[in-house]
Amino acid sequence: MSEPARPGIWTWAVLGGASLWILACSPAQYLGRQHDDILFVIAAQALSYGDYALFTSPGSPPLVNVLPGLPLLLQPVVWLAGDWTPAYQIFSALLMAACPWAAWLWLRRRLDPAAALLAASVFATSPWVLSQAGTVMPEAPYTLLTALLLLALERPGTPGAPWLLLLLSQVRPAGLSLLPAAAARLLARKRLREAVLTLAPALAGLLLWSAWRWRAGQGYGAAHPFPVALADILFYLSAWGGCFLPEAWAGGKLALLLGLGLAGLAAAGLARAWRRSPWEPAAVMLVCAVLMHALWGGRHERHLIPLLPWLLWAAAEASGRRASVCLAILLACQLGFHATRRLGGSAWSKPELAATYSWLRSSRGPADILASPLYVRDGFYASRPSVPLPDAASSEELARLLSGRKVKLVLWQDSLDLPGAARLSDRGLFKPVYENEAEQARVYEVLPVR
Amino acid sequence: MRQKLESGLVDLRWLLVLGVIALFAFHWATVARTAVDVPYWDEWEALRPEALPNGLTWSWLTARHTDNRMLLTNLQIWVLYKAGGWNVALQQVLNFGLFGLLLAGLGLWARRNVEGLGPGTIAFFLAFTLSPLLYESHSMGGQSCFHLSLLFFMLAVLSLLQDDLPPRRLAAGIAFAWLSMNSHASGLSFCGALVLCFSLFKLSRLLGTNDPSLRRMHVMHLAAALAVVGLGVWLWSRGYQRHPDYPDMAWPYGLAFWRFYANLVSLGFGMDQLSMTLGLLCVAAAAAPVSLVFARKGPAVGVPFWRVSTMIVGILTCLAVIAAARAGLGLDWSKTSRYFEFSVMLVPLSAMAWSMALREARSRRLALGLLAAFCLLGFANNWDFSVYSLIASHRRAGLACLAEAMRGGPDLCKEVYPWPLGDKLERAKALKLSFTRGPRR
Repeated sequence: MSEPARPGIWTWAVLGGASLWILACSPAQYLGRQHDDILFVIAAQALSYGDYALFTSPGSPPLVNVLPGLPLLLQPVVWLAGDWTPAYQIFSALLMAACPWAAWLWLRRRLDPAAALLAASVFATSPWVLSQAGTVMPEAPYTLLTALLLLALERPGTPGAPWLLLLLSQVRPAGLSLLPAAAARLLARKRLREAVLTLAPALAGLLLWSAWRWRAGQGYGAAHPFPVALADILFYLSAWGGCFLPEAWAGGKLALLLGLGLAGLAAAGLARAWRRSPWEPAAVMLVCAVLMHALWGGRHERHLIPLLPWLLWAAAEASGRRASVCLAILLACQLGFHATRRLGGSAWSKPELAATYSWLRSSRGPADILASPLYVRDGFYASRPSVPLPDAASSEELARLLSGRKVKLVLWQDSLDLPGAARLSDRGLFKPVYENEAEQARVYEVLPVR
Repeated sequence: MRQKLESGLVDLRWLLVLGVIALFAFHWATVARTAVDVPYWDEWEALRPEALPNGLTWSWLTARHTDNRMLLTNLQIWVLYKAGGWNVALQQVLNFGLFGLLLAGLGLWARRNVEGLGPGTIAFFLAFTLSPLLYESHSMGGQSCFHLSLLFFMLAVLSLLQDDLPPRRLAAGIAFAWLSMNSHASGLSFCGALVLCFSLFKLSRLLGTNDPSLRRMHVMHLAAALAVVGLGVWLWSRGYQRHPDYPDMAWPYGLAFWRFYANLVSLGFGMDQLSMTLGLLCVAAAAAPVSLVFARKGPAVGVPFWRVSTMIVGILTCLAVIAAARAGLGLDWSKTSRYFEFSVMLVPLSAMAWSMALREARSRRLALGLLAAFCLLGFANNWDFSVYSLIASHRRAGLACLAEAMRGGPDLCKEVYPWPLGDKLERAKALKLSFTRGPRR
């Protein structure tokens, strides 16, 4: 590991520019577009109050699917801003803008100054990163904290690593992949006590969380490894390759090939890093995270944001003295094809059902319960209590389930491309009361079940 | 240059002290200007037949009002009655002076005993106690019970917690503890915490010496304090029955207790919003330096830190008891003005504790800076003194209503008492109380 370079004027200029670019693209999506983001805001307010439950839904069900890490990090925003939702997006934008700096702080200890700066810049201008700029999602704080954790692990005796690990494991489930990263080197050196002490807070946190979920009647699902793994691998490789190609080619075979090439380079770099320093925390983290994402059912491009700095590091390791050149080419491609997409807003900047929400707010009673697939988002913008649209085999079953929960309205959005629209076709059970063709949205009134 | 800078800083510190004194004077003047001579709510209980109308009796002095025995407040009412017909406005003005005495005592003690805390810093943190958030206590004469309970608790701590404890000091400390208990129910919580901390203090001194005579002395001190204070608690609780209108107790194994408690503590740091997490942060800000020092030094902790810790533990215990007793009324009650008097004391006490807990000057400055910033943020919107004018206008309306009642009109004056006054007003007229004598402020 080389002596870290001190930040010079170019470092400040480039990283400062990268952060400003991220801020300029914020917010890349309106609050609620990803559904999870509005859930995190509600969870933060619920946590502040002292009752970790979805208070916007009748019965206030416990938030068993929302890890408390990000809501905990959002507490200062709740204390200062309360219900003023732009504050949450501003805070998230600042966190994402700090990520290139955190990545650079770690990269500068391993790569030459130019390569470290370029890798941080490739990260900052990645379409994945820019598409999540200012969104209240856990990827930005997770990336930041991962960099801090890896820095702490590399300096023995630095307090805080166990607590960072606890926080990371509570921010995203992917934090589990950091446990082997934190303990592997210690175990390899037979420092068992230190390994246990490092892992103890995180394991205790996970145990408490699981116990609380179990008490609330929620277990964990299982994935089917092989079919899921292949689909996930292809998805992520294609997504990574697509970052350096024009948008029109992003989902195609060329993107997959490029992704494969980059992954191969990263694998070679990892092997090189391993030979130089076995059980290096960053290498273990990368391997475990890749395995975890390969087996995970949920597949989103943003899941690779926290891995990107380390994937770039691994690729740079394999490139050796040509690392700067390779990174510069990647940066040029990325900037050229994607960087300006998010500037000045996009289709994601405003709620796509704005008119529908407005109709709901003005035409229906404030206590009318609304059901929809993205119920938290829709309930938030329609200012109505909301519940999820239940799974039902038939219209009758759906109507019965909805009546049992005293649901008055169902909001259906065609553009979500979800199955089940046919269940709402029975006019004896679901009366269409509103339709907006431009927004591809329909609102049905739930009629009493005969 | 350095000398000029340092002398400039010294001037700034004393400027801060003067500023806080000016703030105190302004607040006192505001209370004096807006005080209205009319009993309000609980103060009318002094006109029960067995109270003031019956003269100065031991049974009245030690009588219970809801959960509280208010010995010295009742004595104060009697003295003011003798002096001038119990002018309630004057009582409020005097009470503010009493409050000032409490703050001055705390400040002077901190100046002499807390290392690394200059006069400007002490004054800065004491300034928050002068927020008009405590309007309820400053606009009611009967609230002297709160000030007295706190004052005697502080005096008891300063008397009892010291290495050299002659019998005089021991007796004085125990007497102060008794007075605290018999000024307001909060004194009971304070004494409970005091007894606990005094026991631990004596234990630490016992363990720290091999001299048999010293050990005997420590044991005797402990036994005496436990016995006498224990007797006081027993006497206090004789005949106690919880008011039937009070909600069920909220115990610490329930979430309702912690939500209320956290919000109660955060009120002291100026936080108006309901947030359990923010409240727990405030609890941590107060409790962390105590835990840190005792974990680090164990029984070798010095007397000044024992005193600050005991006061912090006492306040936190008092707030916990309030939370247990009042959580059932609803979370909004956690932001009741009169409870602010207890929780705001955590601000200067935390500053003292952090200053003593951190050895390095840089760490100390950082911790105090963060605490200062936190408090400034919390108190940013808590300096509206117009609340006193609003209260005064209500009281004057109540006074006008009472004047009408005394002329034969209806005796329900909700501005000053929620129920028909009935005989209480008659007794007030019979006693020729100050407010019955005609148009006054």
